[in-house]
Amino acid sequence: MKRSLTIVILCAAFGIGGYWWMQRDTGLPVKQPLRFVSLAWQERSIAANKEIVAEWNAAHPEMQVEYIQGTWNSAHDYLVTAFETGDVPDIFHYESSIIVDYAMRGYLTDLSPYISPSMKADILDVAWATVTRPNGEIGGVPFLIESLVVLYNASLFEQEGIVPPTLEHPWSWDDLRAAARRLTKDLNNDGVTDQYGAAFGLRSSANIVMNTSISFGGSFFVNKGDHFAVEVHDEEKQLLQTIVDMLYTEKSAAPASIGESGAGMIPALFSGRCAMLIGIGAWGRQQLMENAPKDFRWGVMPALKAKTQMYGASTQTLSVPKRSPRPKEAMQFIEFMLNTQNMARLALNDWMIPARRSCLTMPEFRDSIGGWDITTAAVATLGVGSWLGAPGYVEWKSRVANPVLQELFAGRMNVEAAAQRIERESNIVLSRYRKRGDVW
Amino acid sequence: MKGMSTKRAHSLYSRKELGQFQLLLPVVLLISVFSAYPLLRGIYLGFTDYRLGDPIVFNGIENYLQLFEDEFFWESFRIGMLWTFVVTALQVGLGLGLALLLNTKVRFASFYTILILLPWATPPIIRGILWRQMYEPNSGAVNIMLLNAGFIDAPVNWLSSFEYVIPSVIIAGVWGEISKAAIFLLAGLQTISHDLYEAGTIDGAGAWQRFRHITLPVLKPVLAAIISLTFMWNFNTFGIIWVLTQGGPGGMTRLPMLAAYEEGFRYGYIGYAAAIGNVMIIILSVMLFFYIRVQLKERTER
Repeated sequence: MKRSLTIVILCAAFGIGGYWWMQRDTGLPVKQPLRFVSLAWQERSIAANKEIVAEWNAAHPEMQVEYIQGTWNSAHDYLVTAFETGDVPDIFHYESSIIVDYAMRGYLTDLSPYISPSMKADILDVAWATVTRPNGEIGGVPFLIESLVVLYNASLFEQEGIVPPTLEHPWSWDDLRAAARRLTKDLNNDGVTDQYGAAFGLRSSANIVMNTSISFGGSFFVNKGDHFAVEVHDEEKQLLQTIVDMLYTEKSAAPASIGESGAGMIPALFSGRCAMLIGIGAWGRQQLMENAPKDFRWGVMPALKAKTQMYGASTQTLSVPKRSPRPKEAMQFIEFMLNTQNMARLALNDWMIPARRSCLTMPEFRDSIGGWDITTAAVATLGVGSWLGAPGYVEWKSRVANPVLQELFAGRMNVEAAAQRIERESNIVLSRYRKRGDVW
Repeated sequence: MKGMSTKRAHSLYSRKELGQFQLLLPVVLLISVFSAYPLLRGIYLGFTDYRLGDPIVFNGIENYLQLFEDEFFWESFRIGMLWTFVVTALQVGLGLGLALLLNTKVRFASFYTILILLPWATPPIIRGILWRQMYEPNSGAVNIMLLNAGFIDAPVNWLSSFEYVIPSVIIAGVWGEISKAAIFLLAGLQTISHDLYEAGTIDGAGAWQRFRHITLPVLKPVLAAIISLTFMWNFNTFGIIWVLTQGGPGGMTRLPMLAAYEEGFRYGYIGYAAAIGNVMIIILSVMLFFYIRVQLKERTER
């Protein structure tokens, strides 16, 4: 018995001693590396991120950066846990709509005092707008602009004698619908449509619907001064009705659109089962470059014109948690990671629009190969949705908007009923945040 | 110090008892640190308005009043009940069938037993991934088989369709857990003496009558146990649904556990999520209490 007690005590002593040994201050100037969590997921984008970190480390032996691979699916859980426990990364990569939510909850370092004037001036105002609070606090540095594009199968357009739109002559939604009808075909006359003119990715369609609604003059969120309210008027309904008509009245949109994501519809574009893929992220072009069949010819359409060509933008960002002890050093790394040359590398490898003006003038981003010229031209007509900074927007999107839109596009309700349900349920969700007194 | 504590221990316990206590100590410590404390804290948080980023403030039963009016929660509760009853019934029913089959003198019975154990040995997340691949609209096995057999003429997106999603997740959910019921029930069946059946046959009982009057009564306690366990397990399902549908489409498969997870981790309302957990524990306990009481009553009446 005595022996067992001795063993227990010895174990405890070793454990505590070992812990102390690892935690002790060695007095040497070697610091813990800064931890950088990246959410890059396309192969070449991961490689570019790692290269840049390696270059930084080679040049800064006194301030090393550790690259940590995160994933979009678990990023939120990971970060919230990290913020709460204090075991935070020093720099993390995420997305503007969630960053503003974190900023409201006080999880982020306000970067405005640390950002260099040259960086401040070079990054597009619309990109800054996606991460800046009305009081001037900045929750992250935007570097990639997410924009939605329309991809089309150039061979099918040629066969049908349809001239694709150009930057000078963009299409209206009516033009698009007319083309979609012409391209919808029963090729083997068995009574079943084999080729649809259009396809969407409508599984989680709130993003597409909200960002596209802006071109119809829609906004969904109305700022009432001390709170936000969700209102679905004719402007918002127009886009919903257009999609529903294409699916059910004109039958020119592939029914598979209903339950798929944009990326999930890319194979249908390759195989010719649909001629246009509407509202996919610009990064989708990378899949076309790398995975399309050899003889597949495709193009990118300029932003469709409804009332305007104005679309909502969101950005991918680098942020510093409030609990990171070294915000200044973290920002130094961000300045390097997102300098003109490196931001261009990240954007090219992720097939997204870089946020710096100095990047956008580079020839790579004006090339017609890969549709860069048309994709980056969209920055002229990007706007920020009125929902930016609405307390509860993140919950609203996943609890109200996505489910109701799923039901609408699955044909289980009409636009009028969907609009009413969105308004009613929005009140329930947003009132929680009003009660808490959350402000942007 | 050490001598003192042993001396005092001498007066209270015998040497042997103290030795036993020492052996238990590490486990007791682990359980209290990793089980009891989180559990108690979880229960406590259910009575606070804690939201991530905000301070923890006790707010009494406010969460429960709010929960009572929360139509999102009651909808998920309704789905949870449907899921739990259907999946439990199918699992136990089919498990009983399998157990009866395995209890007959089939060849390679032990081989089959291992075979049916496999799905149960697979973690729910992996099962979810397997089924998601099976249900994949364009290349999934389910669509390919049905298309080739001519049952459908176009691929069906099982997990995104409002009509098919519930049957689809139920099949996936049932599949993984039948074996658990089957193995428990098989063990129960093997305790039944063969003489009973022989006696029954001599008395002229048919197969159904033997099942009804011999197998079922003997199996009842095992059945009661397996039904309660399966019921609890299914009510608390999370992993497989999370992987298959994340609660979609349109919240059709948002089971209560998913709802609690979303409240807590997606939206940050930890206090409210904990309150959902507390309510679910109470509902489960009440239902199981009545069920087990009925079972016990029947047994004492016999």
